[in-house]
Amino acid sequence: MNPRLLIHLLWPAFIVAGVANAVFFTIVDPIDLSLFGWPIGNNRLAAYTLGFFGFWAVAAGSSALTCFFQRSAAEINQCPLEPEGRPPGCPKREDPQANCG
Amino acid sequence: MDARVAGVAEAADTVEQTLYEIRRKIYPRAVSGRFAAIRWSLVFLTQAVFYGLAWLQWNGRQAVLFDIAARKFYIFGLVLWPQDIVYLTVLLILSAYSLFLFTAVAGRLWCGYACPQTVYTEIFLWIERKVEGDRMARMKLDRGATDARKLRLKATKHGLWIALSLWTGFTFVGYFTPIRELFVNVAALSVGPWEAFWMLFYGFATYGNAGWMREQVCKYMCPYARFQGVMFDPDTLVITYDRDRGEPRGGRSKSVDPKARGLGDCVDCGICVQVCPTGIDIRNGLQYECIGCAACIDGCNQVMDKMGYARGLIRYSTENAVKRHEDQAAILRRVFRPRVLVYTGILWLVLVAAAAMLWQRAPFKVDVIRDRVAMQADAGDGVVQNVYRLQIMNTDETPRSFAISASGMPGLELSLRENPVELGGATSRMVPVRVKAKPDAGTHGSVEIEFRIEGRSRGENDLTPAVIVEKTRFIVP
Repeated sequence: MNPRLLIHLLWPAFIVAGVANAVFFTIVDPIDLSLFGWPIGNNRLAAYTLGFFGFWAVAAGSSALTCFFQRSAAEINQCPLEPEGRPPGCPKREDPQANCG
Repeated sequence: MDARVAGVAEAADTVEQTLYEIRRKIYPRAVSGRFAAIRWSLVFLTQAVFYGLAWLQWNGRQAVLFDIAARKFYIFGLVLWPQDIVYLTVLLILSAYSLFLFTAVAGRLWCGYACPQTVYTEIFLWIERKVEGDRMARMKLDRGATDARKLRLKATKHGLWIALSLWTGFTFVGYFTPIRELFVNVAALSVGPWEAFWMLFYGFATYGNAGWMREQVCKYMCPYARFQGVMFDPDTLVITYDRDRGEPRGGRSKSVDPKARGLGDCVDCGICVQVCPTGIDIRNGLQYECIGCAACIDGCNQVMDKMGYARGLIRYSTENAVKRHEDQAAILRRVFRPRVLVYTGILWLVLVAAAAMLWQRAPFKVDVIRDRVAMQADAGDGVVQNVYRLQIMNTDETPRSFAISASGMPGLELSLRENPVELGGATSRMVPVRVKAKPDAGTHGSVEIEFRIEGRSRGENDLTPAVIVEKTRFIVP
């Protein structure tokens, strides 16, 4: 996978996860939560940290789908390759940043 | 000057592949002057507060502590509970409006002088300069072969950077978990895994952002840089190159009269580009990459002084003022325009409202919860009993005693294990309360009653207790 694509997915997701984590745990006390019916225990710091990574993963997943759906019909039908490797006549050949790359 | 221009061209050859896009490594040249002095004083001020405040004691505990593990925020005499989230909202509103106001008046003041990214980049650059030398020396070092001296310099620089980053990460975590205990734990290598993780995480972010990413954070990662343009208007002070005065630019010796040669005041020395931390040329006009640090103003003024020209070829000015050739008095007059006045008005309004809210804040909170297991019971002889739980939170640090009474029905009687209830500072307790009443014949369903809780500071003769009245329902079968 293109490392630049990874950054494009992870960085905005990081910002969103930070905000989401702060808002969520301001409203909800992790001690009141239960995991598969078991109480989460007394370690709030662990809950905040794992919660942050959970939010991060979810947000990154959403960004990944956005990128994935950016391919047009022509790209899927005729040119199912990375932009740089596409034969002449294919869309977005010149733009390595296409599809969030 | 020639050597410097050659340096720029050579630097352009040093192209490195970075994470976001092809980036030419920028070697900002050290600059001194009025704005550099302001920037440095803000570096000292913000960092003295950041590194120092965590160690300050208040009432026998850390003065500023966002104790997220206990879900209590201590800010000097103030203790905020999760229920006080409204103050956080107010704080966010105040921050947003301050940003709107400052940006409308004088552009990206935040970015140029106070943003941690700018501040830490400045500190890291200072370390880099002390270890490796100024711009030319650094470029030469990077171009040169890897020998013992280069390795030693690089190791020293990164060692210092990492040490500062780790201390920054430690201080950051010290605002969320008591810093003195944390220090003891770190020294004993027995720090908790979550604290350790966030210290390293924040330290790594500091090292990466201020040491390696630098201007790329502003150019590619910062959302604010992208939308700050919408807060500008033609009367906003921005760093401006006076094109009419500077063009046509060109090199000349000090003795030459530029007018006779048909030249403007710009000697095209490139200093404004060399000092720029984001590597742009301010002479191309306002660009989103410009973080408003004013390094180019200081740089250009030095050159103007040497040439014997008037200062301010690059200066803080507004779009309108440059277009109409207006002086500072005209710029100042237009600071008081509707947009600025409205922002200022809203800011004051929110500030006063927040201060009033804090002033009026009751020193304790009560939440009445009906016991759902035993809704109501017939205690015989026409007496009905309801059970409640009173969550009493003594929100500030004064120990208090709480006298609980109830009213609203005939023959109302309370039974608690203790009354008044004693609570230490900044603590909360769930108090079960049984209420007995003898309702009039014919009363059925739910009847409104009131709990009255009087909080008195313990130990003193508190003549004006704080009172909270909470309504609830009493169920009659």
